Amino acid sequence: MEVTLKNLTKVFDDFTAVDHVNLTIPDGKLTGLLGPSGCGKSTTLYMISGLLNASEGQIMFGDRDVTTLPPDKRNIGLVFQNYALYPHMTVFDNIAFPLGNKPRSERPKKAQVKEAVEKVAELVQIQDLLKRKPKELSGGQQQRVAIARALVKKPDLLLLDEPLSNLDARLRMEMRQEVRRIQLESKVTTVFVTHDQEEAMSITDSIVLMRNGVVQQVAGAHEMYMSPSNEFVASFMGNPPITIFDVEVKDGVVYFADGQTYEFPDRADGKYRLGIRPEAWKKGTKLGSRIEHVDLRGQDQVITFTLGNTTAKAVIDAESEAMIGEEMSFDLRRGRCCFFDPETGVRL
Amino acid sequence: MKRLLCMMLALVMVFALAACGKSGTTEETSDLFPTLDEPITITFWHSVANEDVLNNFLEVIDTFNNTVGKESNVKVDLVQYPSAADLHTAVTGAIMSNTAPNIVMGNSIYTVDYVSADALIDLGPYMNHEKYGINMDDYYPSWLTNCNSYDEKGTYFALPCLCYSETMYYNVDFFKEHNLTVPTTWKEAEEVCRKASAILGKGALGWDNAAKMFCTLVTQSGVGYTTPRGELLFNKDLDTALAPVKKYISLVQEGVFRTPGDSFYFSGPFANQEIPMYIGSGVEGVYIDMKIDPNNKFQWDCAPVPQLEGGQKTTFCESNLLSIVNKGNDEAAAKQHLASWIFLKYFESEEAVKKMATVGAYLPILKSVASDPEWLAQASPSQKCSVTQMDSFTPFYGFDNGKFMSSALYSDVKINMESVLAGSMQLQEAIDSLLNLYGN
Amino acid sequence: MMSKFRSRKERQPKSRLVTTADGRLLNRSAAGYLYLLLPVAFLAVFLLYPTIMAFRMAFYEKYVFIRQLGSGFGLSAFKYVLHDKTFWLAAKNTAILILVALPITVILSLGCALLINSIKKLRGLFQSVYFLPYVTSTIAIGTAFKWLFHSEYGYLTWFLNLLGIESKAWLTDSNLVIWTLAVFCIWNGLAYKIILFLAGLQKIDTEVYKAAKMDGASSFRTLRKITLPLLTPTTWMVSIMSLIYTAKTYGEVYSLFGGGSAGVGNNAITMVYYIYYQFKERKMVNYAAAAAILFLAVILLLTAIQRIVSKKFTHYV
Repeated sequence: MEVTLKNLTKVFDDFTAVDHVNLTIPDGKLTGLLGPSGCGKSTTLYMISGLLNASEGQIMFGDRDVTTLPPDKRNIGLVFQNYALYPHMTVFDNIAFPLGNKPRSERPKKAQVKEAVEKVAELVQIQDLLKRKPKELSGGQQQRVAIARALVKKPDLLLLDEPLSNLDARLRMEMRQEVRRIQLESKVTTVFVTHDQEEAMSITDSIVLMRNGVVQQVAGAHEMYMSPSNEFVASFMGNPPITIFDVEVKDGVVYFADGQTYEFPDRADGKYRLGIRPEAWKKGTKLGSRIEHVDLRGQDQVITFTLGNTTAKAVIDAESEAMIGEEMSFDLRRGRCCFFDPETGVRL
Repeated sequence: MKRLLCMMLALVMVFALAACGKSGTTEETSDLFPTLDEPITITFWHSVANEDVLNNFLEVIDTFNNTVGKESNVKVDLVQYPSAADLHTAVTGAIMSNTAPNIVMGNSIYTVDYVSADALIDLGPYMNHEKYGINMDDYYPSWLTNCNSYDEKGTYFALPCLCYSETMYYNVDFFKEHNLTVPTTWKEAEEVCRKASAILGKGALGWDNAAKMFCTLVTQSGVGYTTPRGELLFNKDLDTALAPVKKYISLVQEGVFRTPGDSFYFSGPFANQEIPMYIGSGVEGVYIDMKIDPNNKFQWDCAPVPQLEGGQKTTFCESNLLSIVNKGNDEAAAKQHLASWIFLKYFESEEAVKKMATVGAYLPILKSVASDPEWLAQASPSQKCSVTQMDSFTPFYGFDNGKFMSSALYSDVKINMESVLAGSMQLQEAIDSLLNLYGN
Repeated sequence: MMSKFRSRKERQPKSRLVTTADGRLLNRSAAGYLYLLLPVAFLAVFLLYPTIMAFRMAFYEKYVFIRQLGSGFGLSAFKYVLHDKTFWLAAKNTAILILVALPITVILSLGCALLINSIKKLRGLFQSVYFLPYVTSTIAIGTAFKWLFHSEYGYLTWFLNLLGIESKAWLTDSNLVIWTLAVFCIWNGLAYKIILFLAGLQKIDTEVYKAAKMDGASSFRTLRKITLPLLTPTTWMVSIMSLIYTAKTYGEVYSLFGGGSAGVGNNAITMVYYIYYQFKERKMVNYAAAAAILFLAVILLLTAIQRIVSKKFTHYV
């Protein structure tokens, strides 16, 4: 089911959390709502779920306007950040609960309930835990139960609010693969909120990046990384983050603040903010600097140095020798560099 | 240092918990009338609560302290308690912990308790002393009967102070309006009430206290309630004793008489003119006056309690009793006893009795006061009426006959009679239950 | 500096360390026993001694009140009490209060707590109003109820007359007094239970309600399947406290019927009132103690039953 948001706005007293958002969430895909704290992503999610009322705008499920529809009638599954499992019920009863809430006429029989619960439990891989209570489960297991509970009623839309933030790093990696697998198998339209760009990039079909209540860019992971629509997107995506230099271009040559130059033949004259990705740096001859810090990461190294009066980070292979204090020369891979308008931040 | 201080504190608190030990013993003496060379203060615990009575009471105490007391080196200190029951509880506790006062006020049921604890002195030697004695002939005999009924010898353990009796209140205007005469016998009362209840639509006579109804009627029948020493009388001839009671109950059930019901006391309904007459304690006058609506005033007066024709003339009375607490056998105790007696003698004198009987409720215990024209001139309706009946008063005897106490019997009689009058029990059932518990 | 350390160490007594069963290391100390002495003495004098004396008194054959002398050892007090129809009346009345008045109070107070919990604006006001009975003296409430229930002038009568119902003698009809007492006990007991239930309700994580809403639960289903099960620890605590409190009803009887008798013919007498009655009015301390012992046995039994039942039905989370 496709979800469309038209001019969706939420105002709290005098603070606008979500500012006229227009968005289409494609059917059957996993979409990530990404952004820093306070950008309005959770607020948007809760407005889609119906637990929060919109101040302005419309929410469409397919071609149905559900803006004023109460949450229990929207046929949505919601996984809370802290799972919100019913502590006094077993896993089985937790998952079966939504089925029991259907109106008398549609309520399935005991056997049907058992079948449905076991099926979805198998999907999330908790079929052996059905008799346990939530306090006897680990964090990851609780989350699977929460997902199962959301999916058992075969919702049109699955919403997840920062599902992985309560888990440790190793489990987080494992669980995000699981979320992806479950989504692909059940083919349900899914939206999940996260502040971790790596997470968003690794499992989503498309990312919606928000800042201060405004959508910055909607794109697939690769596109968002390679072609960020503005400076904010560029610096948000990627780890280590992109380095932004204040430069001036004249006759196809970029002049750094410290006088060093590099050729960018197709670039028009003017003042720019130049973003250079860490992987754009390669050993070369044209730009020089002194190494200030080296982070050994096992699979590669991150070198910190100053160029053009800006601290930059470069990622180079682990084998290259790099010593603190050593002089190093670089060349750039132009495909990994972006130019931004110094006033608006938009990519040029 | 801190630890040491804490330990000291704990030790001190533990020792403070321990009760005070008993004082040592002293030499005995047999002289009851030592000279009071030093001023001596005696404590008097009382439960006078009514404001007007209390004012008079305080004046009497003051007068004593400034006249007789000054001369004899005696001073009286008062401690007031809100009710007789509270006073009794306090005195009981004080007796057991040796902190009792010198003079206590109480009803006969409480005096029984004190006597059984050997806590009161024999007033006989003092009453008959040539210097300190009092004229026993001036007393109405009925007030003395429960002062010396606590043992076989007739020892006087108390003297009366605030006394009152049952009396009948009636609405003068109502009687005049409907041409009715005030009944003096139960037969007349039935006749009058049949007419009155027809006018009013409900019962026209009632008795505030169901126990007093029972006790009065069985005594009026000639059989009696109990002996002074605690033997039941009414079960000696149940048919005669219960006849007037049965009649009373049937009249209540017919609607000719009535019970106080939810109002608990008749002063309210009487003041609202819902009932033209009722029998209650002599002190009710104050409450009636308080409750009369100023826009709806009426004249009321008192009459003697109706008697049983052909029976024994009886009206029940109650008195507060004053007793002197036994402080021991030594000289110091004797001085306290004498000092207490000096005060008691004053309190029982004509002057004090007249003063105490001035406020419209309590009755004079001395014949000389009752016949004093000055006193009669300002007497209240219930006082004037009761004074004419004083020869036929019967008191409630306080006793502990080894099996039960008078208070227990009275309490059960009250509960059972209230139950019977309310219609939830048969009279025979109630009597059976009473005799089961108390019959010898 | 070093010498100070050394001498202190020398002065320290031999180790008085004790390892407890669960592995903690504690220090034995004489001062501790001294601090304990005061509260233990207090408990012994005011709790232990009276309890032991009560057991002893129940077996006295004869007792003189003012001298506090008891003698004999026998079961005559128990025999008397068990044959006394007032005792069985008190037992019946107390049972009525526990089996009828108590469940009504618990349910009403739960309802009130749920209602108060669901409002936001004037919640403080309602909490205060519903808590008033608890901070008001029982005697004062009794006096007010005496007027409310007056069969001629009471507000209840006036209200019933408005509805066309005839009023009855609530305070003096011997068949009705126990029900009047029950109503009084219900009203008086609401406040405390409401506060306890409110506390229990506020302990429930609000996210669970949001999840229930998303799962399509109607408010009735949420109440039945989520709120009430999560409230069971509070409900158990309220019912066990209330059971014992209701069994001890005395103040309500005294204030409604004014000392002396418990309603006409003692028809509203409760167990504790019977014990007081034997002791105060009839001065038969051994009867009172015997009744108290029997009462204690029944209450212990009820509490034991309640514990077993609650284990099955209480969800601790």
